[in-house]
Amino acid sequence: MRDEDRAPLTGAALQAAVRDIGRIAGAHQSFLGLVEAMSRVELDASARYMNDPSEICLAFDKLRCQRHLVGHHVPVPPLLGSVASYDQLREQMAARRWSRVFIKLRHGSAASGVVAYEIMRGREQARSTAEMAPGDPGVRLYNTRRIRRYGDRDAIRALIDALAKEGAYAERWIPKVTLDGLACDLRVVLTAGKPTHWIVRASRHPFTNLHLGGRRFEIDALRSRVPEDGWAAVVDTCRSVGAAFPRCSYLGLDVAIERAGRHAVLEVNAFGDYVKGLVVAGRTPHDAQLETLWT
Amino acid sequence: MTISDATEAFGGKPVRDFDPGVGLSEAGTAAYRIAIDWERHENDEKATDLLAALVSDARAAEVTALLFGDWGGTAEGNDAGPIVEAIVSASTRLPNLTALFLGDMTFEECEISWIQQTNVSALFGAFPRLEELRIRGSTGLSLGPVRHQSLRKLVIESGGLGADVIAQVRNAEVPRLEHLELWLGDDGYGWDGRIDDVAPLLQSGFPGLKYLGLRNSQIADHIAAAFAQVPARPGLEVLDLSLGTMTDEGAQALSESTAARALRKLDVHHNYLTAAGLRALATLGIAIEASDQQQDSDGCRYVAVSE
Repeated sequence: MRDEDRAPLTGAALQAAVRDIGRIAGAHQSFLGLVEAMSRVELDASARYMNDPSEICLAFDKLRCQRHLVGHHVPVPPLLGSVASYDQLREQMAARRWSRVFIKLRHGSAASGVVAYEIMRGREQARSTAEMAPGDPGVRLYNTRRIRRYGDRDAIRALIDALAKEGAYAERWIPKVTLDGLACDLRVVLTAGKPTHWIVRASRHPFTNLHLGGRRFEIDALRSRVPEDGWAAVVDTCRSVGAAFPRCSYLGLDVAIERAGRHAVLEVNAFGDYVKGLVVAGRTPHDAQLETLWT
Repeated sequence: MTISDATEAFGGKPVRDFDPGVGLSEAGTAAYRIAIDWERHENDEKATDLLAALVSDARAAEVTALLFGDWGGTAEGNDAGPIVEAIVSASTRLPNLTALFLGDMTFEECEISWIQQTNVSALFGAFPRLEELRIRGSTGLSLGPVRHQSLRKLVIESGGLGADVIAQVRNAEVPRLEHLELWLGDDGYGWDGRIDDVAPLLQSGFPGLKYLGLRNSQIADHIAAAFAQVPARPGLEVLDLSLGTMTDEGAQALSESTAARALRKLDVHHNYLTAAGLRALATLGIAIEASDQQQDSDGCRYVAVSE
């Protein structure tokens, strides 16, 4: 679906969607609002900011952001591209012989509207941070902290079609390394383009976000599983992301590490510097940011 | 839970990924792992080619332990048939193989009940010195008739084990078996048995058995009750009913079991016991592993590993 084909919410429908707590609606419209607000900031000669407004907009368009990273030689999960519908997704997966993908909102955050989808021999399953309620037409989507599992094709079709309407894209599901039987990835906070803070996020679900009940491990728990050159490559990648966002003084990256030691950047978060209790060498990410401002 | 992590040691040796460029430089001291992850699969690399390279190595005869992870496209539904066939064909080049792991992959690589196994019966004839066989995933699995003089340890990890495979285990002629571990699983994922299918394992067969694991079971309470009915079993040191849905009812039955009292250790970790159930088990006067007890959600209890 092209962006200009997406009917904007207006009037009473807009009011209702805004008041409907937890509802996933108008994701693209919200993004346009962000772009508008950021452009006003850019035009304000007196405005001072730590992250550049246009780079913030880039990070809030996840598909464009991933393609931007590819252009900067940053490893990301192979992209399937925009998702127009369930049927189109299945065709694309079949063409690439892929059986497992992640579907994400193009303009989502905090794991809103994410689906881990897998198919095999006529069987299919979707696990998601979105739950469905009957809508007219189709379904309404809500964020949930309790991961939903859908095994029925009609339900999965409704879910993916509804996400497609909000603007979604798909990428290859990279199998994450496991620790204590939990799937792990990394949240890395960059300060002035360099990785300064790290935490391992772990979950029995494919989604590791801490607000979804993900457990935390110290970095050494994972680091010991990765060969030394593999770890150096992760650090290089973090710096490359920093270079791809030269006018952002901080960023939060989600990085998947694979069993074989390879890695891929899953997401770049323009406001991803807050991780509760994350202190490295006596400094929080905010301490580190203040230091860069003073020096 | 310490399930579904990358296996770090197997057959008493640290695990190394086999790299044809390096060869079997640690043939005598390491277990070797062969796997084709998604990227190698997309590059058309084959697990059978890696195995061919391994058995062509001058030191292949020294290898005692092999692990097979993703055999290429496992998550797409490719079954273990071709790799098992290749392992069997290569048996003369692996005369000292004593430990074999088929399906060493995590749920992030492929859900356990989605792993397509195969008929592995030819392995038993091909590797007469095999002492340990570990299989993850039981969809499509058949052991066939098993007759083997060396096998000491048999493990089948499953999200739902079929009664047909359990019958093959019951009927297996494995006089040296010391460790039998079956993950029975959930009836939504392949478990189609009843207590009668597993109860015979509690009382007889396998005279040298020291460890019996009937793990990850949604009928853990029934298994506990059945164990309470059998006489003490000489030689059996450990009963492992972990990862299941046992309640205090099962714990109470075990606490009154003569056979349980004769054990060295009872493992019931990751079940649904309360303090009362744990107190009952403590009266047995044996080692009890009971960590990580779960609480039911709206009356529903789930085994640890199903999907």
